[in-house]
Amino acid sequence: VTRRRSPARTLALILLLAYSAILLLASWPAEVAPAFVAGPGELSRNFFRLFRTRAVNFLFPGRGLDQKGRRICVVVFGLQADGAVTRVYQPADRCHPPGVRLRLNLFDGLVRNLVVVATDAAPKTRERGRTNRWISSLDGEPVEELVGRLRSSEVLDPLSQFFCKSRPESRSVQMAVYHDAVDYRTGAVSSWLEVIHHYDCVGAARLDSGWLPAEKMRAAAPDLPLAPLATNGERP
Amino acid sequence: MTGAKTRPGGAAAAIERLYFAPVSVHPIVLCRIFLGTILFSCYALYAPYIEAIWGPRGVTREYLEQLSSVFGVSVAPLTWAQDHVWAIYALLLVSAAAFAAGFMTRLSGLVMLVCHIFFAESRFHTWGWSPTIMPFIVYVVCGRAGARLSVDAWLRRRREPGRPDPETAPAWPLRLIQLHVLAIYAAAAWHRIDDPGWLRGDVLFEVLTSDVWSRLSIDLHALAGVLRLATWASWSVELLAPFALIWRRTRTTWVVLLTGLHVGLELGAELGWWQPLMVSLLVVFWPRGLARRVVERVERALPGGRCRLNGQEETD
Repeated sequence: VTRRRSPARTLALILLLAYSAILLLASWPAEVAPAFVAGPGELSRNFFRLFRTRAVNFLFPGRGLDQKGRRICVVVFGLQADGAVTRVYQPADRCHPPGVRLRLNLFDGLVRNLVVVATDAAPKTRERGRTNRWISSLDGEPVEELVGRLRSSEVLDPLSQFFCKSRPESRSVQMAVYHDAVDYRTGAVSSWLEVIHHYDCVGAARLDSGWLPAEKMRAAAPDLPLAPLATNGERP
Repeated sequence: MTGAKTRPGGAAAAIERLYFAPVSVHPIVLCRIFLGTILFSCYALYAPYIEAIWGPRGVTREYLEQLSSVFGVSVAPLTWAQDHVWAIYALLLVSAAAFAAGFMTRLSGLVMLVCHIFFAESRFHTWGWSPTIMPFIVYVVCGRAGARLSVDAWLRRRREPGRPDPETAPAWPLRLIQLHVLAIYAAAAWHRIDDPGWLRGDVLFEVLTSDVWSRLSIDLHALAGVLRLATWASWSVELLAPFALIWRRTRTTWVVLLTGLHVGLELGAELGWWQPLMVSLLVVFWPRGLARRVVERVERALPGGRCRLNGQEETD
């Protein structure tokens, strides 16, 4: 016994099957896909990007175990015409991670994510994903290279511009990062406080000199814990 | 076109049944409520940040201007939207609430989606759930999501008393949700098979102790071994999910395991709305009849709801 399917239903079925195939191809990770699937898989994922959406997420790429960033804090200082240094931005938790965090402060998350994006110039590896490079710089590239790359990154220009406008009295703004990490293998604590972006509010241009030294930043923000939590291998 | 012939026992007929056979309307009704609630809650919590991030003088405007001036990208629609950010924000909240409540369900779902796209376009502030939720909204909008447990259903009952509530709908929106959930687990789990972090079992420890994600500022180093085992166990659950959710005999077990995994992650780490989203979507794999019982129980508890007694439908 046969029955006739209506043309509209046939068309709908074809579209549904095509969409289902695109979805399945998009979900096929390159790691397990035969070579002939890899290309169509990427095309399928691009199909979803076309609609500003995402079919799937390849969540949590490789992480290291031994080095942990335990306090990463972004603070923005403003330099006024008379040379005074003021605080333009600090995270809502004032660099003291709360005992229990219910919801991430969205603005603080945005600022930190932008800093993470700015480090993206470095090649990602399976061993260390982008975010992890930032979190665990102990085992990654030398701090000087990381900071140097951040200082020349145009990704942070608009963010600094925003801070300039939010504090019009600032002649320039300097975005600083305090990074505190512990090596669980040795117990060694490593920390650094560096300006990662200097922006001229008047000329609307990134500056590649005149970075505030750590002591001056600590003096301008004495209430913020911009120094190591512990130096004797004590775990957080 | 004259239409294709199909034999009832053939593969084509089986595929046709898979997509077009009537299925219970209740799972997609629950998906509607959950997705609407997720977006409403998410954006309600965004209220303090709207001006600083998406407003006409917010951070995103600076980035749009950079896109326009440096890369020559046309951003006019987005800058226009930023000039009216509070109106769009209000519209999003109202439409999300209406979608969850099932009021003008399809229209409110589409409005919610468009408003969400505007906010999600500057998604460096959030995690991947934000773009991922979009196709699911589309699937739910395409289904008969307002058929039950909704203002639309209540209004229909007032207009047409005695008319039975819909119990079934064409399967294809539900099938697309199911397929997409399987795709998400496949992609999330299978890309890790050559990943040193996952092979060593480090990841759960990393997530739960990370300054970026962890909810708790406690030292879990002493539990690193246990967390290694937990990493492998949770990874196994995700690896097998695309198969175990299809096979009827393992489906319910895997729904329970995956729900437990997501609840555990939600308790230990702040990963945006990933976990509520995935737990909500697992509704489409709930045991047969469970979603119907939940919907009917809530309907009975609501004033003006309709209950089924001895096979007959009655209005409370």
